[in-house]
Amino acid sequence: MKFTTCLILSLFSLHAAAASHITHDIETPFSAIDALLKKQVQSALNPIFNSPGCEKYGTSADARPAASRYRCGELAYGSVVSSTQKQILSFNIPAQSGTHDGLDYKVDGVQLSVLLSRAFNLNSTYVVDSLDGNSNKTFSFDSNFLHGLHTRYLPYNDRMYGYSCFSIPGVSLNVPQVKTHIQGTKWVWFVPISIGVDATVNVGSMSFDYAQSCASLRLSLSSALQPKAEILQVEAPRLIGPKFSGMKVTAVASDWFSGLVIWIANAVLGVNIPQQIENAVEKQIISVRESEIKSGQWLGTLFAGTALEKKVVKNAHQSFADFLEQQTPGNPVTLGQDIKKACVAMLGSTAGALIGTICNNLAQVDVIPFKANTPAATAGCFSHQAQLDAPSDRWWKKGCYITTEVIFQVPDIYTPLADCFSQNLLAGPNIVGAAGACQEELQKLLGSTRKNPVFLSGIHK
Amino acid sequence: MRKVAFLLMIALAFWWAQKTPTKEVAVLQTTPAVSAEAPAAQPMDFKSLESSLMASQPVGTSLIIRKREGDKVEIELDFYPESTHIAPSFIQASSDDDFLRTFNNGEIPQISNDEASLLREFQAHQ
Repeated sequence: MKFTTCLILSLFSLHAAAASHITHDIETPFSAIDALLKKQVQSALNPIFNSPGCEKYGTSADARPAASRYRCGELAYGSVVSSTQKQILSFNIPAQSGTHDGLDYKVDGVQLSVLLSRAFNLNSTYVVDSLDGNSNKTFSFDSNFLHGLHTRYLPYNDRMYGYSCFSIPGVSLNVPQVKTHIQGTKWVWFVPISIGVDATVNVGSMSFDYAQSCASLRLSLSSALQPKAEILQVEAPRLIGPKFSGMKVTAVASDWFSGLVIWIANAVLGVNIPQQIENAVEKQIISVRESEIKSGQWLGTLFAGTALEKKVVKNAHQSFADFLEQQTPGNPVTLGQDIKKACVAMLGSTAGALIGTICNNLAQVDVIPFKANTPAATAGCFSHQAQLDAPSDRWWKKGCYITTEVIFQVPDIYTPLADCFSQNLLAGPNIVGAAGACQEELQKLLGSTRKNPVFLSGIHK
Repeated sequence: MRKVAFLLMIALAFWWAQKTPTKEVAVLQTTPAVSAEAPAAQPMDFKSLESSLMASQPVGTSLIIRKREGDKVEIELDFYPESTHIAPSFIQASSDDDFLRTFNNGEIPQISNDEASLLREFQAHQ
């Protein structure tokens, strides 16, 4: 902002004799920010929480492959295997054989699949320091994923900071139990005695109440006066309230020998299965520890790493950063264009052929974004979080706003019109002019310029 | 005497080899453990089996031996038993810094002291 200030001062010194500076605050209410952010997040997350084509789900018009026929609002991840589950990973545990304590054993290979529930667990709740009551508030999940995004805005030292937290309801994962066959052979007096046992392998399951990730962002103006949003700090998604069951191998023995076979097979599987899971998960560029595999926690790590980190949460935070960068009124060029449009809409019918020149002069602005705003700060606007797409009756939707100071630099002769024009600029999602305003000031300007047309061109060509 | 004993042992071994099937004898939860032709299985010595398995139990596992109908026992090896179950309050795939790097081309942005305290304040409110 020092650069901006210098620019204003330099312009002022160059044109001190002919120019006026009219300062006007544009207040962008949180409702306008909400409407724009909603659009941005929706376009980033709609494909992830399936909406393209979802309205055709279950009809003959649904041309999508069966494995990607996700319902509306369902996490578009994994291959659909049934009405309740999707497969997100599948791998083989190969057969293994060897000798242990004079016993030859062979354990058959098995195929394991990791299945993800298609429905979210909407019963859990989460707590947010919310603007709704300027205190902690418990929120319930609903089927609209946008409601899980809460944001705090804080204008501070010519910059704006944002803190956004995204919560999504829980899901469950499980590896269906599989049976394997164990063969043991012991040689007695050169004679092989073989025994076969079926064992049940239970690799584990897990669920969690909800997932949450928060990020802090900084919005500033670059030296070229371009808005720049940076993510300063981000929390990798956490699965809150995990519940998991671990790995078990069970078999039935009817004599001492089969008991021994089962025991050896158990020990073999106890090493073999975690190794194979580790390899399969590593292919997803995620590492899990043996203890996590044995406990079943790895299922959560897998889901957090593949679905949440790479798809949902990264897109949610990134779209928020992009939104801030694109929509900030900090760029004088963009703001000048918006002001010019508002000027044409407000004065165009009266100014006739001169409208282009007049509006060009009125649109020469400099900007101080994220101006300190004591009333909004006192009301708590910058101390708590606003829920995305919240009902319109929330007090903060209109009661909270971000202030941008706009400095109009106009020829002296434009001062009355510029004064009126700035007062009648309305800030919303787009800056607009109040229709029919400032006609008297415009007529005065037109009258003066008829006497001395050179004034009309003003200081900015 | 030694020769007689040796011949007797050979004969016994031959007889037993013929009596013993080499094919698989399935021990399923729902089927009999040993076929009729098999040699009489060693009687299930539950205590002996249990103590033998317990002695070689891998560290951190839980061995459960349950008596089933007849002579059968169910052997279950739990690789993450309740006794060692320490439930975390959350599960996280990668560290916050690793995750942050994925946003910023592998770099962690510079944060001033002022900003660091601001971020702490944000998190404290969450």
